[in-house]
Order: sequence, then structure tokens, then C-alpha cells
Amino acid sequence: MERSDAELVLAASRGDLECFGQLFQRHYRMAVGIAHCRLSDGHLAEDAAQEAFVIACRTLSTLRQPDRFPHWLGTITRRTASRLAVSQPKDVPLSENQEPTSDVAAAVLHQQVHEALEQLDETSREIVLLHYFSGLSYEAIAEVIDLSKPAIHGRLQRARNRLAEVLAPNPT
Amino acid sequence: MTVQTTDQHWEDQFKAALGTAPEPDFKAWCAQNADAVAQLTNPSSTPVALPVPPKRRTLTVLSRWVVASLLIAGGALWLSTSESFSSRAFADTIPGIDGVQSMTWTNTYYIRYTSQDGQRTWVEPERRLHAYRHPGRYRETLLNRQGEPIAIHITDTRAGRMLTLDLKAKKAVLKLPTSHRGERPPFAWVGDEIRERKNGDSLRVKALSVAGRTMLDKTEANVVRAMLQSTSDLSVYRQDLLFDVTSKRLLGIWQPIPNEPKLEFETVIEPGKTVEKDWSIIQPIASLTHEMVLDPMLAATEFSLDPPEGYTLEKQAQPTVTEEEMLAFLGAAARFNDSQFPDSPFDAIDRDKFNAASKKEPASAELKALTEIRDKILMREIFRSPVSQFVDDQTVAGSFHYVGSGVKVGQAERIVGWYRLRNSKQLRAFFGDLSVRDVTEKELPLDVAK
Repeated sequence: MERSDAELVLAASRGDLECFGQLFQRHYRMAVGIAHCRLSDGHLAEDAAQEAFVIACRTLSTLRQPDRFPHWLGTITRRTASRLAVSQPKDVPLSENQEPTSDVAAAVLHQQVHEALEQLDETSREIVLLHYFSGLSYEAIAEVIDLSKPAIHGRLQRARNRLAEVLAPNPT
Repeated sequence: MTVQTTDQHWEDQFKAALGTAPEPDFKAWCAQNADAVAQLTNPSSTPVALPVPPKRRTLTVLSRWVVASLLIAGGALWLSTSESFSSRAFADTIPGIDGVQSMTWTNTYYIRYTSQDGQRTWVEPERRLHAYRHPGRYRETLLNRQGEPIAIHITDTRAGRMLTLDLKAKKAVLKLPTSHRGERPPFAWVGDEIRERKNGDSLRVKALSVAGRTMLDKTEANVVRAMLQSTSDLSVYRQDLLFDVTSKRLLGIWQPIPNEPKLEFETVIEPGKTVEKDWSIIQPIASLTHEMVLDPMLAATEFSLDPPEGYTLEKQAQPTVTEEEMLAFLGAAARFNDSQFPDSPFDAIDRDKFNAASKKEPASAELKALTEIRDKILMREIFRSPVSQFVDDQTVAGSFHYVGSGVKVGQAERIVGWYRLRNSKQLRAFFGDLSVRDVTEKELPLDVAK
């Protein structure tokens, strides 16, 4: 039977590395998704997520509500990503951050998607990334963001409509 | 090129363009962050924070406040030795920061008191007088609420000794310094913050700005505001560095606690508040370093580690925890924990349970016993786990093993843990009935070699 976050946090804060490892496995994608929301570079997002886990590892014993670990980690990740974002040069064209590719169409599509995401408010963008990029369920997203499951569903639906609108072909 | 938005097609293309989050690789993460892993897996390095009754809490909170201030103040003194300056505005020598041979200053701590019935609060200042003489000699005078000297602490960082004088009891204690200070001038760390944007390894300067002018002790000062960020928990501290407008020398430092960043020294004492004799809670909320005097004549005798005439002298060895005390603590913790030894000897007290039990009147015998042994060790200024202190001080590195999780107090046949004392090859084991004796490897429940 899978152990709850609270059980793993309690065990990890007593020094059980394996339990911390389980928390890492369980929530790493979530952390990368949140970081990706603030850092459009995937590598930087991974750096931010890994740094967030370092902070969580060091300060785990200060977490008063172990069952709120995902929410707590999410907050740490947002702060870490924002800090990294500040230290990055502004207004770097997205294409410069991408791997060289021969598929021009794919590169253009990539850029369009990111521009479309920029049109969303931050919470909606985070929900979209947690769902599509990190692969989280509505329930798991609700644990990270202080919103109910139906609210997550509603937000995601509106974001999808907005994205579809932005990404729609221009009438010629 | 545009994305097809019909049906699910746009969503598929969207997902493809977005990609998927990478797989977690915990092993790689552990390898890259060995220090964080070590901190997690060695809880002994984390001190156990226990709530204590108000009077004792005063001592603990104040000590921590002072320690925190000293950490900020002293961090750079011994951790950073770089001389490379990067800020043009402060490229020259700053009086009060660089090249100080002697100086005096006052630290005023602002303490918020809560009345005994919890209905009223007021703020009172608590002053401490400081003096410094090159190289690395410090003298701190503690005052009571009436402003009368009650104790003096003299530290010689080169000698690695500290002399405390209890002025009323005429008692002197010679011991190890309670704070880390180097031989650099006492405010050299201010230069590090301005020029190198850091204070030791634990704080970085997140932002540095000029925040107008103010008056401090009848002198006009430029305010340079540093926002410091802890590199461990990312908490942010505000610190105002006040420089004399005319002479450019360091005039003062104002530092509110992180959760009250908007406090100002001009208004921290609220007018019309009545100061009461009795109180229930006290909390330091800010500190002001001021009344700085550069190069005063300070006699070497003021910094002497010899006690004044008429004082009794106690030479205190490095504070430690003996085998007997370690067992007494562990036993008290086990009895408090429903007579069962804890899962970890380094985190032996269930804090929630302890907090809940502390609120009940009358206190249980188990709580009283635990509080007594814990306070005895706290009074030696040992704020970490008593078991950790014992292990570090008294045992051969790596020889301490604990298998007591779940053992009931009184189980004389069950080994709870074992170790080798320093300067000894003999194994020592302690048992469920808190007895301790020499044992052979064959008697241990686990293979020592493994």
C-alpha cells in the first residue's frame, strides 16, 4: 500500500532518506512544471526544481502540516524559480534557448505555444503546465494550488478555450 | 505555420510542443547534493527546540536573538577574508568599518512584553555596552532594566577564551567563547555586504539601496538599506546601515526581525503604553547598534582574562554531556514517551506531545523529570540534542549505534545502544533498564563489523 505524503514527510524528517526519495519521485514532475511556468527554459526549470528539493530537504523538520507537503514544495519552487528568473537576462528570444533543430515547423510551433501560454494569467498557466506538462490529475493539482477540484477543472477549461483561440489559424 | 485547432488535433500538437516533464533521478540528485542529504540523514545536527516556561524562555529567546545577531554580525568576520572591492561608491576606507584599532558602541535590543493577563503589550529597550580592542578582544557589559551593570563578558579570540563576571555574586567563569569572532574589526562584515554583496556564506545581499536620511543620536545619517537573504531557508532580513552625512563614518545599524520589517527605531517605542512589572511573554523585535565611538583610549586591563580582585574563579571546561546525563536524558524522554524508547535518540522528544503536556496543570512527574534534565543541559548553552553532544564529545567516531526503537523502559535484557568511549577500545552498551556496562561484540544484537 502506498504511504501518504504525511507519513513519508514524518519518516524523512527523522532521517529516512528512502522516504524522502519517494517524495522526490512523487513530486519532482510537479516541481519542474511549476518552475517551467516562471522559467521558459526547461533546463533552468529542472535546476529550480532540484534546488527546491534541496531547500525542502534542509527545512523538512519545519513543515508543520506534513500532509501539505505538495503545497509547501510548490511555494518553495515558485520562490526559487522567481529568484532564478530575476538572475536571467531579460527578453531573450525563446528560439535562442531551444536546441538546434532542422524541423523549422516544430520550432515555430514550439514558439507559438509558449507565446500562447504567455497570454494566460499565472495561475491558469500553472494549471495548464501541471496538467499537460507534468501530467498531474485535477486532484493532485488541487493539492498544490489552493483551489478546489471543480475550480481547477473550470480554470483548465477556460484556459483550453483561450489557448485554442490564440492558436487558431488566422483567417485569410 | 499555425496550429490546427479543430477537434483534439490542436491539443495533441500543443502537448507535443510542450513536451513532458523529465523523469526524476533521485540518485543523481543525492550525488549532487550530498550535504543536504547528510543533513537529512543526520538529525543530530538539528537542535531540538523545546518550549520552556516563560522565565527560562526569556533566557533562551534572548540567547537565540543575540546568537542570531552575532551570526549576522560575525559571520563575515571569520568566514570571509577577501579584500577585493567591487562597489565604486564605497571603494575607499569607511571609518568604523575598516582599519579599526579600538571602538565602543551600544546595542539596544527592543523587547515586546505582554502583560500577565495577556491583554496588554509594550516595548522596552535593553541596552548592552560593547568595547573592542585590536586584535580580537571584546568586552560586553550587560545592564538590568534599570540600566545598572549586572555582568561583563570579556572575549579574547586569539586566546580562545571568554571570562564572564557576575558583578553581584562576585563570581568569574573562564570558558570557551560562546560566539565565533575573528580578528577583523567588529563591523568589517558591513564592508562585505556593501562591496561583495554577502555576509559570510549564510547570507547574501539581495538588494542594496539608498533609503533617504534620518537623525540618529542627534546626527544626520544617510540610510543604506540592505535586504539580506538566508541562503538556507530564503528568509529575508531588513538591515539599515546608517552613515554620517558629513564624516561618512558608520553611525549605526537598525535591524528589525524578519516578520516585522516595517518597524522603525524612531517609533518602535509606542507612546502612552504603560510599562508593567510583571509579564507573561517577551519577544525581541529589533536591535539598534549605535553610540559608536572610534579609537577611544581603552586600557588593555579592561580586556584582561584575569578576574578582578575579590572574585571567585571557576574554570569551566568545554560544556559537554556525560554518559550518566545522556542516559538520564534518554530515560526521561522514554518515560515521557509512554515508557518506550524513541525511534531516534537524536530526536527523542515528541514536540507536539511535549507542548500539549506543558499546558496541563499540574505537570506530570514524567514531564518534570524530562524538563529538569533538559534544562540542566540547556543552562550549559548546549542547544542541540544531548545525545548528539555526548556522541561527538565522548565516543569514538562512528562507534555509536542505537537499536532502542520500541524497547520498553525496564527491559534489562534488551540492548538499547552501544559505543566505544574515547581512548578506549572497550565496547559499552546501555540497556532498557538504563544500566550501562562493558560488553563483548558477541553480546551485541548486530554484527559490529557490518
